[in-house]
Amino acid sequence: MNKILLKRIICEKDLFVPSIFTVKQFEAIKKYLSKINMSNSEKKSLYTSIAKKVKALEFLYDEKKDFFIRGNVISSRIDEAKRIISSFKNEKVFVGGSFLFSDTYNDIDVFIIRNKGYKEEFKDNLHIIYLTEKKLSDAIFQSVAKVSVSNFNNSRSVTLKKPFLYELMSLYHESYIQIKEHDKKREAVRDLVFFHEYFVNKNVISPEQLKKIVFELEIFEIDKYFIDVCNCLFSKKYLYVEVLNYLKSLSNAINSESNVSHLVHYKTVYEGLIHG
Amino acid sequence: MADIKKLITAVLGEDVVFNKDFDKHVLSLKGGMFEDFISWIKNCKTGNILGSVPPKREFKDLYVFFRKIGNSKRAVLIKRQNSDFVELILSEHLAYDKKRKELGFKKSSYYKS
Repeated sequence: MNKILLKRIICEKDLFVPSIFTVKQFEAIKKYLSKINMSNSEKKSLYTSIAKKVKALEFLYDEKKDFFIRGNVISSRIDEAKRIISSFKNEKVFVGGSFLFSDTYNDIDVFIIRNKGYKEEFKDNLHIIYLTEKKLSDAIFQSVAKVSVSNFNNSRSVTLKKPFLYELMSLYHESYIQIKEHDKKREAVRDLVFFHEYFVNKNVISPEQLKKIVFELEIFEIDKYFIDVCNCLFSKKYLYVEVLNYLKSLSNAINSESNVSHLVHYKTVYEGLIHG
Repeated sequence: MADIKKLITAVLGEDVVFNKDFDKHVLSLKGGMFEDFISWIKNCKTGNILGSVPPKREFKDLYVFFRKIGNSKRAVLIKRQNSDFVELILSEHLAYDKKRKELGFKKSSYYKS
């Protein structure tokens, strides 16, 4: 059986279960790929019903072998994405981002795999991101790849470094400010939701879901997201020591600066985090 | 150029220090962007913009403001709490991210996370 195709099916559970495979069949495929012992009924299912379905999928897969289309891509945008990819000769390229799934978009994100270094540049309406194969495994890029058109299989096992507490705190502060100031991009909120999904819910969220959640969130929800991620990643003792120290700086700023309602809010949330 | 810096120091005070490439970047700001930048500085001064206390211990006495200007320009304005503005940085992505990281903030760009 085509293991590459089976691996792609495993990476896109939502797309194939229950529309094409049942939950039991999906579990059987997972066991087959991981070389875990299978029951007789699972083996039977694998070599009869699953094999037939995979054969049919293989036929379609060959039909469009030059391009890989993942996720719910707006069909009218596929040709444009293919045209962009084809304009980069002899490169491993994929198009991702809101261009593929949203009616409105700012620019078209084009990802090009190269041997060394990371770089972003803007050319006309293209936002071109050069990255290495290793970087492609980063959770953020695997999230983007979940809704993409590419000329290679861009699905990889995911890696995401645990953030430092101070990074998480600053992310929370900026998320709060972006919601309060009605920021159109809400990049910090996006990162906070991403961390929450990855570390708390153990899920790499698709960019489509991410966009939907990010623009519906309110302040009390980001408070909860922040607290959940902190409790998931750090010990109570560590949080107590670090946050208590930061609370002193916050109190100083509250007393010395003007327009500090946001700092007062953080202080309440931090006190809840370490005492509650 | 001297006029622009004079205009800014009139708002932020004489102690403010500019980054090395400030002149190059400020001159490349187009009409609306430049006005937006100056208006942001004034709003930081009057307390209309929400600032942040850096989470890194060594910078706990600072109060910092961030601003994105168009696709490629970024600004950081730093003041000491209960005191004067000390630094204004206008740069492109890389220098901005470097400064953010130094202060303990997460890198800004979506794809660089």
